[in-house]
Amino acid sequence: MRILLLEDQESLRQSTRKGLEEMGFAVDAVEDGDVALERALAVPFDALVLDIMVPGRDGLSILRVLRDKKNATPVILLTARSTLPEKIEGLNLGADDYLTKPFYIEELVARLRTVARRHSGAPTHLLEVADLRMDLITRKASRGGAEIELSAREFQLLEFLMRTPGRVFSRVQIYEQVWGYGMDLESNLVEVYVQRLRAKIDKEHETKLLRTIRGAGYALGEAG
Amino acid sequence: MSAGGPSSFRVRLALQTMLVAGIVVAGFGAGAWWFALDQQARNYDLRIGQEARRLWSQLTPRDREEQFARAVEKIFSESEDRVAVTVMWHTEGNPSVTLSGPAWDDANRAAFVGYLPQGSEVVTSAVDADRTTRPARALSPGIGNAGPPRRPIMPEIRTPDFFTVEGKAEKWRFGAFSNPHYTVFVGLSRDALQAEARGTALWFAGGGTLALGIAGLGAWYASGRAIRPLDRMVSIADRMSAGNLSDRIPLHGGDDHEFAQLIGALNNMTARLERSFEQSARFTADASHELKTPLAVIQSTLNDVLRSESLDEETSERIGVSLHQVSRLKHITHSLLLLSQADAGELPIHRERYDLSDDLAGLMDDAESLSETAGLAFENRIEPGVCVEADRALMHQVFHNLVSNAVKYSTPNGRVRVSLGRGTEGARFEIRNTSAEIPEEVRQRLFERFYRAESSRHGEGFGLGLNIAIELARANGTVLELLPSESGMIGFAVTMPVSSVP
Repeated sequence: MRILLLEDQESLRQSTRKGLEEMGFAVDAVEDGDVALERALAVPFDALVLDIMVPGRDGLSILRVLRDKKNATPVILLTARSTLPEKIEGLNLGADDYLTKPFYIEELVARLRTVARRHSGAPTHLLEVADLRMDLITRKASRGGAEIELSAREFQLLEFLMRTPGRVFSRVQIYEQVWGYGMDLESNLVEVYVQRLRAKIDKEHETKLLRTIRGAGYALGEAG
Repeated sequence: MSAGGPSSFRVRLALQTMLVAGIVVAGFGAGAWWFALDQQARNYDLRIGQEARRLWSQLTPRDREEQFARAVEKIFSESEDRVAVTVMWHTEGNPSVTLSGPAWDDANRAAFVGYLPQGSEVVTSAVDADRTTRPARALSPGIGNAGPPRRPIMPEIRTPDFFTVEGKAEKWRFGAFSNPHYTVFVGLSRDALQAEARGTALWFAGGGTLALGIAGLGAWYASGRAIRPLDRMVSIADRMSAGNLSDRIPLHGGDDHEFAQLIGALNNMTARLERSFEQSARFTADASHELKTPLAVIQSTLNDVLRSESLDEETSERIGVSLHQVSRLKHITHSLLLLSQADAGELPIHRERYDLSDDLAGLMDDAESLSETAGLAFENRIEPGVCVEADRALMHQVFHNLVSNAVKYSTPNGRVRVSLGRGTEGARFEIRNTSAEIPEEVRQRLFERFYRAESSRHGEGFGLGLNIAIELARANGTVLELLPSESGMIGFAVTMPVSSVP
């Protein structure tokens, strides 16, 4: 997938590009809005990641020009502050998603994959890793055709891991992304839920999907 | 207005007015009383004079006791007053007087005799009790020296001609009237005078009390009117809080100059406070916002390092510890941002209607796991399908903080009980946990920022959890409150408006 990244902040631009490239994306990173628009009109990208507040033309106005020209490339907007009017304006202009800085690179990747799949017409509510399946609408999970009963939090954890298969997540990151802000970090909730999940999805199967990477964290499925 | 505790300005004003009015009334009353008494005493002497003249007109200088007795009988037999009449004959040698009439007790007699010329012969006649009310009849005629009149001598009646004789039972006022042959003493009981004086005194007392009452009521009313602007100030000031300094005390046209000045000064002060408060809240918000990006960069860099293949386990763990601390910093920064936004009244609220029972499912899972790990019994009574209208993310934080607190601060081997249901005032979430007895002063401070009871200074919290919860709940138009004290349990309740659409 080829992505255009518009971000004026040097460190964030570099780290985002590096992160996306690691996850297998081809990234064109620019820092100026006018350059970004030029590039977006010239090159058929799979998706655009646009920061709203940048020098030159801002992200919203690039989006407006693209949609006026019937360019339907998926767009994810980045902003420093999540204010509702800004968000609504962006979505009204035809943005596909919206991400508030700072963000985890995996979050951006998951959203890029979702908008790209939606764009290509593939179903977005089905997740699949090896023979493990998850339906986000019926909220059911199964492995090898056998349904798995999951509690609310177990479902959220599995969904999170399945969105970026093979990626290693640290305990802290899982806390922050599955539980949200403010979880009690001294508790061992992540370990507890990983154990439960493992018992439900891996116990009766030869191939273990939920892996523990010592010192680093957890991952679902093989790397890559 | 005049609630217990500190004394009321209004009450004090009224009382002080009454005190001043009371002193003035009492002063005037005392003056008038003295004047009236004096006036009455003069009237009394005039009356004695009148009685005496009536008697005098019936007598001639040569009259003896028979004529005198007749005259007395004639004049005073019908009199309603208590009159004492006696006569002193100016005999050669010592004058002699017969005391009769009113109850001449020893004290009376001694006092009376003190007014007579020295050496006067005093004869006390037996008192007829029956006649004491008509002393005029009680005159007993006769003294020893009957016979032809002698050459009269001038009486030596001491000035004043009027004198008061004070007995044990009653006081008498006497007038002495002389001609060369005899001196007639006419006395009137002072009791009548005192009764009149008492009447007057009652009038004064009644009038004075009434005047005091009117003065008090007037002062109450006037002070009430005068301090009405104060009531306005109090009601506005009560509504003010750190997050709400935008109210100003309205200035009414009828306000007195002094109050208008005070209101102006208070409003200016509030405006300055509001400005500086906004500045500091904005500063905190900006600062915590600025911290987010570098923290995110540190975090993602550490994450990258953690993922690299060549890392040995010890380094991984050390990076894990750093990541943990970065996460704490992010959490604190986020909390500060929320609080400063709430303080500045700029918390972005995205209201939506959602199924709270569903939303709490994950949290209840956690609560159960956490309780299990901590050895606590967990009781979950969440009614399904309770819909509310609020900012889902913010309310989630509220519930999360409450659940986290309950598990963290529950006594060992205790229990945590959570319930959600529909009440009369809306959806009601309640959470209780076993707890040591919490003193009242601690209960009152539980919601304060950075407050932690001494016994709970452990764990990861930094004393913001409950404060954030109450601020977020308030910003969402919901009510978070401490449940009434229960033995062995502490509990909190959140009441939310229920969404009308099912």
